[in-house]
Amino acid sequence: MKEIVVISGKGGTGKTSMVASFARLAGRVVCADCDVDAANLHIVTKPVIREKIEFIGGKVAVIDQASCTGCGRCHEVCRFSAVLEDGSVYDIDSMACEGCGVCAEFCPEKVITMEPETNGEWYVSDTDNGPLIHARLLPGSENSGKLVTEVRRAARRVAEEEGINTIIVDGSPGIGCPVIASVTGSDAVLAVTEPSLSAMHDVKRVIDLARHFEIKTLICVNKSDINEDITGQIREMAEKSGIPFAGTVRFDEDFTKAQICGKSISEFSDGTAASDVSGVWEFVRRELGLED
Amino acid sequence: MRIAFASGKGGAGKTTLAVNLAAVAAVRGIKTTYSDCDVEEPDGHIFLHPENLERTDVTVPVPVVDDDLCDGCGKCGEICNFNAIKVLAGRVVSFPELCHSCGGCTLVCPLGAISEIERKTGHIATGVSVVKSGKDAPGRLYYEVDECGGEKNTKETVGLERPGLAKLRFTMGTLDVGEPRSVPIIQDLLTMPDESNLFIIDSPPGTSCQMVESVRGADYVVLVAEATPFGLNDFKLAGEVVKMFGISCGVVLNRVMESEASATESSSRPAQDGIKEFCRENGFEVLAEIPAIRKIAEISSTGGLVAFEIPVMEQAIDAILDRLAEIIAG
Ligand code: SF4
Ligand code: SF4
Ligand code: SF4
Ligand code: SF4
Repeated sequence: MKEIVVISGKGGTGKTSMVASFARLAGRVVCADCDVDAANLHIVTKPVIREKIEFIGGKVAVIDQASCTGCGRCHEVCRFSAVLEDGSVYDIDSMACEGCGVCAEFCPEKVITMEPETNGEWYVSDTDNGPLIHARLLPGSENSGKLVTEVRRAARRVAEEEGINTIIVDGSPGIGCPVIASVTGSDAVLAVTEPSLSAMHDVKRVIDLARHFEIKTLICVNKSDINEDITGQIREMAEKSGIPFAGTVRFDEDFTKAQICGKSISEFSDGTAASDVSGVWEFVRRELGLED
Repeated sequence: MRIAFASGKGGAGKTTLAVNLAAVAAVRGIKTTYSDCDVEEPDGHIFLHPENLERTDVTVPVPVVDDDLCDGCGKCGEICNFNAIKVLAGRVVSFPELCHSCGGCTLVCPLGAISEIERKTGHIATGVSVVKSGKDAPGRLYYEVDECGGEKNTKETVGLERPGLAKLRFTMGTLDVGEPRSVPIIQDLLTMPDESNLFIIDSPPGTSCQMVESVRGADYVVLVAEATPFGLNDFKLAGEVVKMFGISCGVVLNRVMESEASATESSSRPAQDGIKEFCRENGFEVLAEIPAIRKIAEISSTGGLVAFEIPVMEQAIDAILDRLAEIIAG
């Protein structure tokens, strides 16, 4: 089984549309949308939900007000300013609580309990190209890294059960906990970038991240003709660092139009961007050693 | 006045708007700070070219165990909710990158065997950006953009007369590669002493802890929404977070695309309508609508400030700034 994670440093590079196209080009695959903060893959893959699972990410402290003596010990020990003090009344700001449990441990009256906190839900669904595992993190929630791990674990399980040998992961943005959870242990990372100085800066950081975790990295440039100069610089940077360059996708209004129609670019058109995307997928497939 | 620029996802145009607004505000003579809180991928410096950056490390406390004092009782491992410290075969092993620095293990150790050391996870930097605008901006051309989004190069400088140089305070945070936790860096950034009248926060994208951390102390949030189905979806999620905090909010609709030929099939109208409806229902104000113009992407790709080059952008930024001034004045 091979698992490829598509990441981009920052959102908006066309990563999700590409993942949806790859899924279509690959035939039957398992897709996992690990951009749990702002999942979008379901918009273009039209999943039919098969299973829905609640995600309990962490815990949150709750004070039993009736038995609290107002000693303030909890306020003293909480390092996250999550225990609010109002005269001699103490209460937990659940948005700020990290769920560390220190207040509960040190409350002399033992009136603080750690309650499981629902941070979202995740789904196993069916699409035209195979199963999709996707999730919804409740707005403002923590523990996105944990949810990503759950989604990827489920994707592996489903792939095994259904004898599918390719998993395509729509990774999280950034370089922090959710993306670390998206890439660790995968077979390869495809970094999708754009020819702008800022995107180039972002992609360098995700490449460093992949290198830090020793994962094979490929790179491709979307909207490559917006700035041919920078596209050239990115290609050069890739070659110098020994990163296989998976190709370019030219700017094409069809990209946005496809999205507006709720379709992947491969499904929507057979124009320049669509054929460029299949070129990139061919490259990725060969690099990963995927058989037909 | 603290204004946070946020969006449900990166790529909506949040940084473009935040840096341009900061630059225009500075040119208008407003004492401005731009603070890049997108610490996983900070990009503001590419547009604002800060000078004389002074760096300060950001550290978090993590436990170290004195093996001579420790008797392997296991209490530290029991309290740790993050698997960051464990007792294996009578010895304490810690995993500093998992530690949330809650201090529980240090407090709970009966033998006083645990102390804390500071571990670096990133840095913050402060400096000054000099904004060159108007006729004095070297090598800058203005572009006229016609109604259909096409453009023609005018060579002539158009737009408002502006003074040539302005300064603004620039701050940014950077997370070290391989470190998972952005929040402590954002906290350091947002608690620095600051004397500006306008403090612009460029938030991390998304809706989770680091975005929450950067908008919670803001007086006003500007949500940037891309007028596409993805954009609508992301915008609503970010809108929910802003609602939870009860902060006043304005919305900028970005990359509005009209296609006459197939108004139903591929115009961005339905997404736009969806965004506006959400705004109506929740009392968010629509501050500006910015058309999808390839030139904006091209200029931004090289780190240029579009407010000084593209009249529609200039007008949009001016309008937003005027509206923010009204809101500040109450
Ligand atoms: S669980 Fe931890 S973060 Fe939450 S209130 Fe208690 S001490 Fe503070
Ligand atoms: S430590 Fe316990 S008893 Fe004391 S104020 Fe907190 S909740 Fe109340
Ligand atoms: S609590 Fe203290 S004594 Fe007990 S195992 Fe941990 S470090 Fe050792
Ligand atoms: S400080 Fe808290 S999170 Fe870190 S190791 Fe100790 S108990 Fe665990």
